Amino acid sequence: MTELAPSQSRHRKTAQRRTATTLRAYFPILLLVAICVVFSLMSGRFLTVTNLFLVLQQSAVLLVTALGMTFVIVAGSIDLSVGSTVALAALAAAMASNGLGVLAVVPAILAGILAGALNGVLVAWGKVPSFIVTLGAMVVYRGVVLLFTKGAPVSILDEGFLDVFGGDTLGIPNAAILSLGAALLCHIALTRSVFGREVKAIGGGERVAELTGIRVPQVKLAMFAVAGMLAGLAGALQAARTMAATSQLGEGLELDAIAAVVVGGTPLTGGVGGVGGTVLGALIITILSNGMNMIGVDPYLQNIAKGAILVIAVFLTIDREKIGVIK
Amino acid sequence: MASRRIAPVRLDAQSIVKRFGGTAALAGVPLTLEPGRVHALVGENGAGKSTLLKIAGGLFPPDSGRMTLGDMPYAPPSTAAARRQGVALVFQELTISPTLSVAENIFIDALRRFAGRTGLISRRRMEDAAAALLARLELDIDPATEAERLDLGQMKCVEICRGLAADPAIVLLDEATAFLNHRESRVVLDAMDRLRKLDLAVCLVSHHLDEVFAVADDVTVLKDGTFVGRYHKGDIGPSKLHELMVGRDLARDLFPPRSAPPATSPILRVERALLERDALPFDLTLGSGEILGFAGLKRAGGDQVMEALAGDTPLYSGAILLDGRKRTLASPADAWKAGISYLPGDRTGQGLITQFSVSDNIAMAARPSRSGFYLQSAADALARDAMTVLAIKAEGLTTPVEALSGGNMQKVLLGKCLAVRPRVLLLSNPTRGVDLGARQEIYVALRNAAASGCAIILLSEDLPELIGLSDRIAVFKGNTLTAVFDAAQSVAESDIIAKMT
Repeated sequence: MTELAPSQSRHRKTAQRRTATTLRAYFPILLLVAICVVFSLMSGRFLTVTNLFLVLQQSAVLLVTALGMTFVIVAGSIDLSVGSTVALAALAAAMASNGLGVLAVVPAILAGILAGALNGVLVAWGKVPSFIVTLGAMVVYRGVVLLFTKGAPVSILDEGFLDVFGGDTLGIPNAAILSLGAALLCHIALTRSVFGREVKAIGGGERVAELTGIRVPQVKLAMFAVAGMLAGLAGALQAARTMAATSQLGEGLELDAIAAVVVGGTPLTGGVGGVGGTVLGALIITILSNGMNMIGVDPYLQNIAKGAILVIAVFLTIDREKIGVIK
Repeated sequence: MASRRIAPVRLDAQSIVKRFGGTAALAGVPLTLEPGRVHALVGENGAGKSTLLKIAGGLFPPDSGRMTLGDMPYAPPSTAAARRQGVALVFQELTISPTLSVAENIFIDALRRFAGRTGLISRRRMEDAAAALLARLELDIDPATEAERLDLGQMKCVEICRGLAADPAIVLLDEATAFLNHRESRVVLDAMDRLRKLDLAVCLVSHHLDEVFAVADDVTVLKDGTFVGRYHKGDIGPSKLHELMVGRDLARDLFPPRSAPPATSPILRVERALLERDALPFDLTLGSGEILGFAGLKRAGGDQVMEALAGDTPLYSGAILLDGRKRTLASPADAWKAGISYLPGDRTGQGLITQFSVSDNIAMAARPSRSGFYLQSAADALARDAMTVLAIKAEGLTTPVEALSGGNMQKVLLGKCLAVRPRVLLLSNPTRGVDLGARQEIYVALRNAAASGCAIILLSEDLPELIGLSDRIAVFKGNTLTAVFDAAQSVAESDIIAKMT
């Protein structure tokens, strides 16, 4: 029996981990390309400029929501309330649009920030796990929407608002421009700002971050507020697309957003990952629906396919040395 | 349950050898345990005490050597097998499940014994059996109590009862009192006394010499994996015992020469500090350019003072003054902002994010930035400096810290603390698990930091390190400061130990 010296086994482990890291980095783009190849072989309408813009427009709400989720998951937390926050923000936009027009996006974003900040306070200072806080918040925020709408939709009639958030510029959907712009800003924030570095450090080791002088509660508050702000913007986009706020808007969106982040290669354990992967993840999830509709897959089978792809993606990319619980 | 007591028996081990990787943990060591006697294994960290105990308990086999139990050869393949032959090993770490009852904890690995025909467990029979075991140790604990309501000493006794559940002839205790305070330790030591009266052979590993003299009948001294000697309690005194344990000249040149005594001006002062309600208050002053050693047993007081200065856990009461001004250090962030760096003792759990790069870790405290943007080039410059000054061996700045050796990891951690140019540097066991070469480089770096005016507190379990590096040494015991030695280089280890224990 041969035993590896400690240093040898460490090197081997490191090499294995590097391979895993490389796979994690390229998996989302490979998956996206594979899906596109399959769909374009099966449908001539798939690989067209029209459909590309359609996909970008369809993915905008999911992408913007998933951007906020990226910060939260990189920090090792989770936010289940973003779907309800989207509905809350859409309602704020719809109610304000008749008076404020385009500026109705401001109350939508403020509603999102408020909802996110409330989560953040409870997680950071109340020391309640984010899973629980945001699970409760998901129900509460949805309840607030129901309370205001009594289940009836609130229509948006203001053309200005609908044009800016639902229209297009030079043929490109404004929702696509806004969501990709937001993605760029988030990418810079996560990789280049001190805030982004602190979020990563908290996800990498919360106790280490704390003992290194990072103000963990404040960073968590800011992070949840950012997630809420982006859900607020997503709410405005969603409201413009449906031309109304309803109490069902954004239902299940939190799970799609988590799926987009995870399929994009950001593990739930935190510390690593990025916005680029989330963009790919959101596109993968949108294109799966778009393509399956196009080639006429039974809608009931679509959910099974989407769920299976999520699990397979995580199965292939997860770093099993660091499996932890969702904080 | 019928009492099937195993007859008193002696355990004999001869020429036990055990190697881990390239190092010999034990190089031909004997051990004899006799019924009705408590035997203590003593020695410094790494002397091989725990290894010997674990071999006797069946946790792993020796590479060579011979053991007999009574007249029979004894080579247990597992702890369970050892237990069946009458040898019970109680681990150092507490393995009590706080939400289970005392009885459930005692019989955690033998719950089946109380299952009736239906497969359900009879609580009453289990608790009766537990009560019988607890009575053997004369412990006043209700077996139905939830374990979390016990203190640590009682928990340890419950673990001993778990060992007794198999009716052993021999009980092995690995640092049974390591995490206990004085009162809790007393409960465990009393329990050992009971075991002796029950005619069991008891073997304990302990760092606390006063415990050894309180409870042991015989002592085996180990040093660096070799057998130094076996003594009866009456034949040896604490100072002689300690000399045997250390038994080597201090490698003086391991430590850099002290510069001329620095003209220290006080930076940091702790006033009327109280670590718990009934402890004695004390004051402490730290000057610039000074290295102040903290000596004492685990959680004896030094750790708590350091955690308070690091902003992690506040003092029970008392004031912390920086430059004569009272400061509230409510979080580690406050401490870092005040110029106090903290190097925690748990390198990978509290000090470094090991999957992050060398550069990210070294710059994690300084976080160089301009208008909210992280300056990667400035961070890399800090990391390059640290790598040069501390001679960190890593492939590059982006190498993940987990790929480095323990000594280099520790240098990265020290680099992080020094990168903020601290006024006060708090070090908790900065060279634990670090090889000699890296150790020396760390000592030089610390001396240089002090020479440039940084005030350093060095908490260490390694007495030669404290003596070799400190200018003064503060000794803690029972949650208070018991002594401060000026001119640390001329203090004898035994003087410090006398104040620690």
